[in-house]
Amino acid sequence: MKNKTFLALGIALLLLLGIFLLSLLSGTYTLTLKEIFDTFLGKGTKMHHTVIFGLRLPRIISAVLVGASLSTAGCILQSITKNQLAEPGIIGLNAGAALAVVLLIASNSQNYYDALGTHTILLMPIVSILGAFGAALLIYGLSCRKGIAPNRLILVGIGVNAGINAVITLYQLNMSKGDYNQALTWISGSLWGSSWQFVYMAAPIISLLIGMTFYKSKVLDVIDLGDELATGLGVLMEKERRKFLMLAVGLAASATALAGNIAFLGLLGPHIAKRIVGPVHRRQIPLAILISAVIILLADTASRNLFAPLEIPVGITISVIGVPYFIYLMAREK
Amino acid sequence: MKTHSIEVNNLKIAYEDTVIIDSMNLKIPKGQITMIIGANGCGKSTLLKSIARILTPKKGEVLINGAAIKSQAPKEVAKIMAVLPQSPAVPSGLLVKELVAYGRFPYQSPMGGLKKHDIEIVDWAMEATGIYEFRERPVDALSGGQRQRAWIAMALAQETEILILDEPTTYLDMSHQLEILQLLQKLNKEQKRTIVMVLHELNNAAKFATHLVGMKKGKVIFEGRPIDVITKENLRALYGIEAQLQLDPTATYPICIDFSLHK
Repeated sequence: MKNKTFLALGIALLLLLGIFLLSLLSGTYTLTLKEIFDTFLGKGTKMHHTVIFGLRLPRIISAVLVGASLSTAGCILQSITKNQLAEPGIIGLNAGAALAVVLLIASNSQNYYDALGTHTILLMPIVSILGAFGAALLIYGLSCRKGIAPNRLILVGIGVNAGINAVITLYQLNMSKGDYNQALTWISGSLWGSSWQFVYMAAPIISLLIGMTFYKSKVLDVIDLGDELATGLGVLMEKERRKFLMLAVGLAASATALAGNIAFLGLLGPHIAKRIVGPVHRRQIPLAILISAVIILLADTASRNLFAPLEIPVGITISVIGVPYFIYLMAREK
Repeated sequence: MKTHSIEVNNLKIAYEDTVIIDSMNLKIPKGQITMIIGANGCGKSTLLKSIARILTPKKGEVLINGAAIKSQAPKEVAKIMAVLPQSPAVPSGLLVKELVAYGRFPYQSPMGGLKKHDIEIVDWAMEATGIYEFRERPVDALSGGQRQRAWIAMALAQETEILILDEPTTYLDMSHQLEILQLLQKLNKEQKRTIVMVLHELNNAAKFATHLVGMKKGKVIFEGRPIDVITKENLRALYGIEAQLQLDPTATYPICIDFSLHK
C-alpha cells in the first residue's frame, strides 16, 4: 500500500509537471521549451518574461491552489456527510461565495459600462469568504435539529444552492454590461484575470487550511466509521463535524475567491484518489489534491486554447467531464 | 477492587418526546459476560447506546469504574471501553489491517504513525479473531462472519477492559454465531475482560452469559445467573411465551426446547 501510494503520488506529480509545462507553452502567444527555460534563467526577452511571469504563472498557480482547496474540501465533506456525492459546489458553499461577490459588484457600480474599481477587486476574497460562511450557517441552521443528520445537511445544501443561484440570476438581470461579464466569470468559474495579488492573499490561507485538515486526518478516518463507532473511539462528533465544516467552508471560499464557482472539481479528485489508494485520508488527501490540480490545469489550458481568442470559463470545461462522472456515481450508488 | 464495571443510576432516555427508559438502575458486574435480552423495542439497544455515550441521558448518569462517564475525557473513556454497534458501515476499499489499526486511535497523537506496541496489539487482535490471513483484503470483500470478526478485532485493538457489543451475532449462521461467542468467552476467561452485549438468541444467551439481564418496556424485570433467572415465569413476563425448559447435560445452563405463544 505504501509503495502504491508513492507510485500514485509520483505519477500524479509527473502528470502535473507535464501539464504545467504544456500550460506555460500554449496560448495565444506560443512559447518554446527553450524560451521558457531561458526566461526562468533570466535570459528571456521582456515579452517572454511578461507572458510567463505576468500572465501564465499566476494563473497556473491559482489553478493548482483552487484544485487543492476544492478537493480537500470535497474529502472533508464526503466524510462528515457520509455521502459520496458531497462537494462544496453541490451544497451551495461556492454559490454563497459567488452571490456575495455578485452583490459586491452590483452595489459598487453606477454607470452601465463601468469597469470594476480596484477596491472592489481587493474586497472580493473577503466578501466571498463571508458569503460562503453565510451559506454554511444557513445550511447548518436549517439542517440542525438536536445535532446534524448528514443526509439532511446534503438535502438542505442542495436546496440552499438552488435558492442562492436563483438570487444570483435575479441580480444578473439588473446588471450593467461590464458588471455582467465580470459577474459571469465568477458564477461559472474562471481563472481569467488571475494575478499575483490574489495568489499572495490566498496561498497562505489555503496552505494553512489544508495543513490543519491533514493534521486532523485521523479524526476524518474514524468519522468514516459512523457516528457510533467514532464516539466509541473518543471523538466528540458534533464538535468535530462543526470544525471540519468550518475548514471546508474556508477552503471553498478561498477557491471561489480565486476562480469563482467551480463545481464537480471537489468530487472528481477525492473519488479517483480513493479508488487508487483507498479511504485512509493521509493518503487520499494528497493524491486528491494532485489529481484535482491536474484536472483543473488541463481544463484551463483547454479553455484558453480550444476556441482562442474566445475563452470558455474553466468551470464549464470541468462540468463537461464532471457531469458524466457525477451521473455515473449516482447510477452506481445503492 | 470494585466489583462493578458499569453503573447506571436513575437513567432516563427519550427520543424527542418518547420516553424509552425511565429511572433505570443497573449494575454490570466486572469480569463477567453480561447479556441483555428482551423483546424488540424494549430499550436494550437504547441502554447500550447511552452507556456508549451515543445518546445523552435526559436524567441520571452512567458510571464507569465508579466515575461519571461525562466527567471524563472522551479519549480516556475510549481506552477503558470499546463499543461495537449493530451492523456498522464499512468505508469502501478499507483494508482489514487498516480497520483494525483504527482501534488504536485513542492512543495515537495526530501526526504519529503506529508504534511498535500498536502494531503488536493490532497483529494480536487479528490473530485472536482469526482474520490475520485476510489482513490485506478490503473489509467490504469479506463474508458476514469474517467482517464481524474484523470489527471485533478493531474493538480488541482498542485494548479496553470493557467490551460492549450490540447484537454481534445477528445475520450470522449458527456455526459463525458460535464462533463469535466462543471467541468472546475466551477473551473473558483468559483476559478477564468485562463483556456486555445485547443478544436475541435465548439459548446462546443462557449458554454463554454469566450474568443475564431481562428488559421489558425500559425496565429491568430480572437479572442474575442464567440458571437462576431463565424460568417459565420470567420468560412469560419477558416475551409472552410458554417455554419448555430443561437443563443441559452438565446441568449448568437451561435450554429452551420449545415454546408457544402465551394465551
